Amino acid sequence: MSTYAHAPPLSQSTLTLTPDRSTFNKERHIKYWLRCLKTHLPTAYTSNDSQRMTLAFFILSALDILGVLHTKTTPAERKEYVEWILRCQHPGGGFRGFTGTMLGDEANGEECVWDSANLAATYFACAALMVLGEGMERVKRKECLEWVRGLQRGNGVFGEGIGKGGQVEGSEDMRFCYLAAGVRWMLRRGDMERGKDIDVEGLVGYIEASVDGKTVSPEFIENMTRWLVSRQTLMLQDDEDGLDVVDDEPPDPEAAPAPPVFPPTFHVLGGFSVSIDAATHTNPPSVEVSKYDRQWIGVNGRCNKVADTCYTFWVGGTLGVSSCRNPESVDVF
Amino acid sequence: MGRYSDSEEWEDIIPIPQDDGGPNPLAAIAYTEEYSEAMSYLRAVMAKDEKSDRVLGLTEDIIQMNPAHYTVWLYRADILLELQENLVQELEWLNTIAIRHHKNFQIWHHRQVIMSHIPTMPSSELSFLARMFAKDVKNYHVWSYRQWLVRRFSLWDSELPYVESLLQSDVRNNSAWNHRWFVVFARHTSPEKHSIKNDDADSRVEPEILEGEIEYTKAAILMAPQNQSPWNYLRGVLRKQGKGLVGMKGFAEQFADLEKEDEVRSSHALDFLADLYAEEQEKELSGKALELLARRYDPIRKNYWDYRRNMLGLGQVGA
Repeated sequence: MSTYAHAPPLSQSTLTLTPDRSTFNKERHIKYWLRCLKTHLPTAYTSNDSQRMTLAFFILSALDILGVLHTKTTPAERKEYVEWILRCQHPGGGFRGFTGTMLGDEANGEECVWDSANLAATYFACAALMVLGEGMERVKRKECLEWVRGLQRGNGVFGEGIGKGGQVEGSEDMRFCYLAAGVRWMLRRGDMERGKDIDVEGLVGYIEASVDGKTVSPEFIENMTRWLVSRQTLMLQDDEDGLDVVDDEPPDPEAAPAPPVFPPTFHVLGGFSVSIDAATHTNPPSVEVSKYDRQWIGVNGRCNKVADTCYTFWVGGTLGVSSCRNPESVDVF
Repeated sequence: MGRYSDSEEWEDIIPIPQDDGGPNPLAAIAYTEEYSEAMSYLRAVMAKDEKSDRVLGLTEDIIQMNPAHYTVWLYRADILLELQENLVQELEWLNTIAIRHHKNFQIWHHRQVIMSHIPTMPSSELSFLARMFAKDVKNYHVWSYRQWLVRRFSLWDSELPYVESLLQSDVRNNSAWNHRWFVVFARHTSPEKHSIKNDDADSRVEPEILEGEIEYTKAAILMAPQNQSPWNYLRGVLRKQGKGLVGMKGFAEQFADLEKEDEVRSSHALDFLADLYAEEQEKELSGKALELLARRYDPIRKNYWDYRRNMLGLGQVGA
């Protein structure tokens, strides 16, 4: 077909799916996670040192989802896991990400600004205790909720920790908002419900401002669903595609704006194979969906990006959550 | 035996070893001896909150081994500011770390802290960012930092030509489209309001600017009709204009004539037209566009296109 004149033949692709690749080997998966749980992670994990609590949650949760956490570990081991998590609890509320900033007796009795709790660690510590099914009663809930409240900035967004002079540290990041809401949901129960709360309206306002829509309304959910559904891809795209040269120097701001001229490109995206070249771009060929296209299914996190497993979780999960407001939205995936 | 324990410079410091408690810590890592030792000295000087040249060197050593150690970055920034170190020199050192660890985000937060204490932007800053984009033109952390930089030093006027050069390299670069939106529309919002609302008609933007954006986007769509980025951008600009989609009818129909189903050149044009026809109360045409998407041009999302048909009161597309 002439449409594919510039395309690499799909039959020669190195990404050909074989049945082996799509088989989920549960036993090997369990073996992998048990090794992560019961032996040291390799040295290459050093750059994750300050996120050990996050890794701890992934390990415990994976084994829990695989249904073996309570059969492949002993009660004594699980007690040790609980102790390690609680060891990371900060006296002032919240959890540290790892034991690496615990300063021992040297800093005893004095709050050291360099040994502080971290929001992601706090979320994952609480979640890990819930997965283990014990230890939650030893979480300093009042202090923790108070500390989370202190992480919220004036515009509703959360930081990730308190630094020197009580300053909120960390960039403005939607992920911190998610973590704060999660910690609040896990801990603000029973007696705690009467305590001071975060600025919920401020947080909702920040989220609304970031998404197309004024309030969390059916229209808001509808627009969000539309965007989430459009994250699904048919084809894998080489992430490096399309970038040949980037000028080292910024363009001259004085120069008159030139009319846009786009170079000939070839890409495979969103189920279409489109080839356009300078000679024919005024009359581009029509496009067709090939039978191969349907094999390459994934979910990306941003428009025109390569599919990535983790977005299957985030996009699928969000559609699942939004189905509380719009039961149909999860079925559209 | 080690870099610090053997050094006279550090002989006054008693290192604090890591204490993981019991025999079964979670996510324990097989540290190198070098990292363990450096971290033990770090704990000792953090406990005293020492701010000195030797501690700056120690933070550099640890960052080389673990650039994602968020506390050590905060500590380093504090020391640099307290000792009034040369901050431009710090940026140059950061360049080497950033190039090597281009997925790391602590580096960019640190860069922002340092840059916020520098009154005028060093001339090398933008060419360094161009080097980062040469490695990964969709690097989220670099783009976030660049947005901050544009506001901090009011770089609005020079940004648009830069965005256009990136789109000339790759018209599908969604990060560049996103930055274009920021450059054109964010200067009308206050810095405190970090995000830009895609509200209804926006009277703060001059009509000529909106027209210019529409023409630019149409040219990009003509080049590559099956490129979702400019279609999304077009919808955003039209919303700012407050006139609905209908003015784009002729433009969109050239990519998807419902009478010539074999010659559809863009699924995004079909999606756009489905909304446009619905806006015109042309339910049947809207439903036909959705049917083509479900059956032929975007079958992976068949459930979604059926859901949209359902909202129009139309039935599902047969399998």
